[in-house]
Amino acid sequence: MTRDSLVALAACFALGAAPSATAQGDPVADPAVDPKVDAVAWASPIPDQPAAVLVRGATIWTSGPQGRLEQADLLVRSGKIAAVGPDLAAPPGAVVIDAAGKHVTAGLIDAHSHIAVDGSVNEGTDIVTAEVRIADVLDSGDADIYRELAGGLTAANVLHGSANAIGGQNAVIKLRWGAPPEDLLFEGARPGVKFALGENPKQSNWQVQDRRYPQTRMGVEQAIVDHFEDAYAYRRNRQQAASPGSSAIPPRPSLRLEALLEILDGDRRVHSHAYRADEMLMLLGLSERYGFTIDAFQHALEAYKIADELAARGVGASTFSDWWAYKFEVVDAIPHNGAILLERGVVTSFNSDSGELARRLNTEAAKAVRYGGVEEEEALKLVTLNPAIQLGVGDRAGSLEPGKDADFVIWNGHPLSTYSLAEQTWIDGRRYFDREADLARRSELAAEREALLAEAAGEAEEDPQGPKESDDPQDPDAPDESQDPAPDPPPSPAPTEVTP
Amino acid sequence: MTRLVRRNLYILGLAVGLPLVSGLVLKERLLAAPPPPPGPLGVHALTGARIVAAPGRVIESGTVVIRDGILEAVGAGIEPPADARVWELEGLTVYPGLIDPYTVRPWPAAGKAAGGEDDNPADRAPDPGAGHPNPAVRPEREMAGWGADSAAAGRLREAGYTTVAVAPREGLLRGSSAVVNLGGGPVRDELLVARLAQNVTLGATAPEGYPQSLMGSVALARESFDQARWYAQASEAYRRDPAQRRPPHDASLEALGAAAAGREPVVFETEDLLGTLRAGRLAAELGLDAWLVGSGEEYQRLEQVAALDRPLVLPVAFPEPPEAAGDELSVELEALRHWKRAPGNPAALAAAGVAFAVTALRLDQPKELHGRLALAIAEGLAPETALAAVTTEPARLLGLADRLGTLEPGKIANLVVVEGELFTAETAVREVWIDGQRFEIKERKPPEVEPAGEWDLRIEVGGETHSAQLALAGKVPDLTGTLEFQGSSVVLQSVDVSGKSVEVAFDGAGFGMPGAFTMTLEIEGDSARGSGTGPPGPFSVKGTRVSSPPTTPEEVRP
Repeated sequence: MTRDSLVALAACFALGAAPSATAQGDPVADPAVDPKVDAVAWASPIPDQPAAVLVRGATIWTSGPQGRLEQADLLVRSGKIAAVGPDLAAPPGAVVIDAAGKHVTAGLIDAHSHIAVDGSVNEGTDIVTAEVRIADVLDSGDADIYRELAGGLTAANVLHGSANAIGGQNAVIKLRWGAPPEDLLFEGARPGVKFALGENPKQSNWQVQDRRYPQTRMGVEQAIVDHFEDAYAYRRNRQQAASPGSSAIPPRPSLRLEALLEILDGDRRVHSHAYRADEMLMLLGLSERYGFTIDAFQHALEAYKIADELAARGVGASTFSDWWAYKFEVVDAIPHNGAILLERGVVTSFNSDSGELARRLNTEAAKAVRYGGVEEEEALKLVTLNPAIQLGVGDRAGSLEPGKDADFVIWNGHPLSTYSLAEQTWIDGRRYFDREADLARRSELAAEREALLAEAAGEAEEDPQGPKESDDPQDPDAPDESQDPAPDPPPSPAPTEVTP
Repeated sequence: MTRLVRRNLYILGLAVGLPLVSGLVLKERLLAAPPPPPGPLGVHALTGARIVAAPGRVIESGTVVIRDGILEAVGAGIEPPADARVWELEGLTVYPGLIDPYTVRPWPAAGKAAGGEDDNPADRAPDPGAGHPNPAVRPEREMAGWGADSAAAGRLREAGYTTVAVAPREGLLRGSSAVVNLGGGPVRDELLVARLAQNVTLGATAPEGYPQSLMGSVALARESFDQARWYAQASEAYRRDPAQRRPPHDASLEALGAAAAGREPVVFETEDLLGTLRAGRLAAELGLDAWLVGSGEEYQRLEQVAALDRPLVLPVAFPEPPEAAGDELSVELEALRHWKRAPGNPAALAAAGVAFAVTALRLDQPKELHGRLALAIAEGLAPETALAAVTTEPARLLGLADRLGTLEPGKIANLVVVEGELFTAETAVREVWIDGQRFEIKERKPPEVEPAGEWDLRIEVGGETHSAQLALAGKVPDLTGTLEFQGSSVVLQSVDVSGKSVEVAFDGAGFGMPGAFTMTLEIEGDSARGSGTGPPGPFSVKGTRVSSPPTTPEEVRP
């Protein structure tokens, strides 16, 4: 790194552009780290958005037409990328970050996530529950948001689980740590819905008491067909009642059928959990018969067998780098899946499906270099541009191109190296994660915790509120404590435990 | 009153004479009986007390005159009327009766004692075809027919409460709440507002089947309000053109109509800040007139809470100190911070300009309210704001500000008499007055007896003796029990021990005599004697313990 810095410095001098002064004004050096970042979301203020930010002298992986640039600058104005290239001038008042020797990439995007959900991720009771919405239950306080920011992630596709054939509506979020739930939503992301095929919706691996129709792959297909037909009938009845001169009673509203109509109209795109080639071909057939659009197959471990069919229809694959053999329907998975799909022209992403793995999606991308020899820049796109395209935000995120959101990561080394760390993660031109600030805050938070612990221990000894008179906090009148009347969110039903 | 007692004694006699038909006869006779006359009214003058007539309005020594349940005069230098019974309250303070804008009670199951052992909401199937197909959607329930149950009313009075809104407890769309005075009389005398608001708990799931997730419950609530609006349109479409298949009758959607149209409030009970914000978003989306029962975490996002701009009902069940002993690593900073900051939540809201009423919800006992508000005051809440939050604010919210909330002539004579300040760690509530009726609050002594076991009781009423069996189980203070009388059995609503006396409360409906009964027994070894009262009148009791629960030897630890 020292050598790299020297090289960068030499280059600056060679070009006659000193890093800290320009003719146009007084750029401010990167200000001292923001000390306010906190261990909990509500106490973390939203970082400022400087009018201009200039990141200088880095290796910039644009994931766009400019490719990878050595000793280049990234200019951000009001939260958007203004320019990428060598020797950019710092506007007056710009925050200037010396990134010599560092690498800059677009913010990473996880096309399959279940973080930041309050309550269960599955409404697994009925075979179709298209009306439930992840956006209703976003948990802005989930610490996974911050942990994943620390791994360079800036956006995630938060999906319903795979308990049923048509699950709930997903929410694409930006990891704006500190923001209230509604401000996490990625504005303009394409509305989507989770489908699931194979073992999970047919309840193959569940320990459940009440089995539900369907119990076979053919039943899953038929259930989807039946519900689409119901949706069409619902629309016909509604149109009939709404036609001029009609006094017919309109049908009883069903948000489930309304959501299915959005899918049939192409306004809500499908992200379908699937493993086997045959079930993916089944859904491709249905999509042609009913005219709905599949944005991506999720998991898609056998997609390599039908890469041409996917590419021809513009259907993406959001897959694992190298998970396999965890249940019967994934026995044919291979780690070269991603490389083969890319080679055949399928829009392919690598996802986490895990709050933990999403902290290091960069090394997941690197596995495509190891398995299949994917070129490095293309490999990085597996976790940047390609998932952005799959989520309908390809014009907003996923690459460092002028006009796009300033969602980017400064790495202390090669982004595909397991040794590299994200030093700063920016979203909308705001620095949401700063490793230096995080480290500086830790001792302070630890001291606060120690002090509160000591105070709590003292108070517990005093026991000011006397002994408890009842164990039931909800209702003093309940004579029988075996009842639990508290309207707690339900314990996760068995379906949440299913494997991905 | 006397006539009624005589009638019931006659009925009791009949019941003893004709055991086979007793229940039926008893019920028929009671149903045929005219409504009882209103309770005792009268003229009272409370003199020499310090009077806090309203938040910030204090009379150092004055008189309160009550005539027939209404405040006639409040102030200094008022001469008690000649016909008044005078109550010397030197050294005591009179406040307006406290109002809780949000209490819950179990929905009584048909044919079962509510809150009893077998009272499982999952057992209560909806009336087939009459309401919404999902059992979690029950907006047609009306608490007006039930009021506050007597045991709960007693506990609320102990805390100085005189009026509460009471909502059904179970379900997602739970039904409509009513506002009642806590005088313990029949609902017709206590009811102030029959239909106050619809009540919703997002996150409550169905007994089985859909929905089982929080997001599913939000979806079902959203759809139900949509459907209620549709039901009104469908009914109208059918009225205009009856020559078509009529829309299926749906009592649930009909009951939800006014709320769905924004004409009736909808109370969202929430458990955490995310839930409060979620309810606020849904209410805005659906155009509802929403009230929010908060979580106590509002201080975390004051700006968002203020922006909701909805009436807020605030619980003050501040957390206990996090368990630190032995396992410090497991205590999160977040939990510690909440413990530290929760008592400051009301003050923080007030400073942010957010008005709120306070509820005793989630306190183990309503009487803990005073101590919690004392803590809130210590953290910066103005004492007047604290008082307003349990008097004038809830009165306004419930639409009863012209009748309740302050001590002013013309208002309902609901007041609470306290020794010293109202908000202290150990507030001594001496009496409450409800509709001009005095309730003395007995001091509860530390328990001195364990009354568990089977008791044979002899109940004496009007010179006749009847036998009954009382079964008490558990240990003080977690006692439960049943009372068996003439072949019927009811589950006791409460069993309280104070010193050597045991007080039980139950509803006589199971014996064909609906209404609140209480019975107090003084225990001496295995014998007991005492008295009770219920709708037919007072009675005396003697009893003997015939069996005790097996004593478990002290657990020996190595």
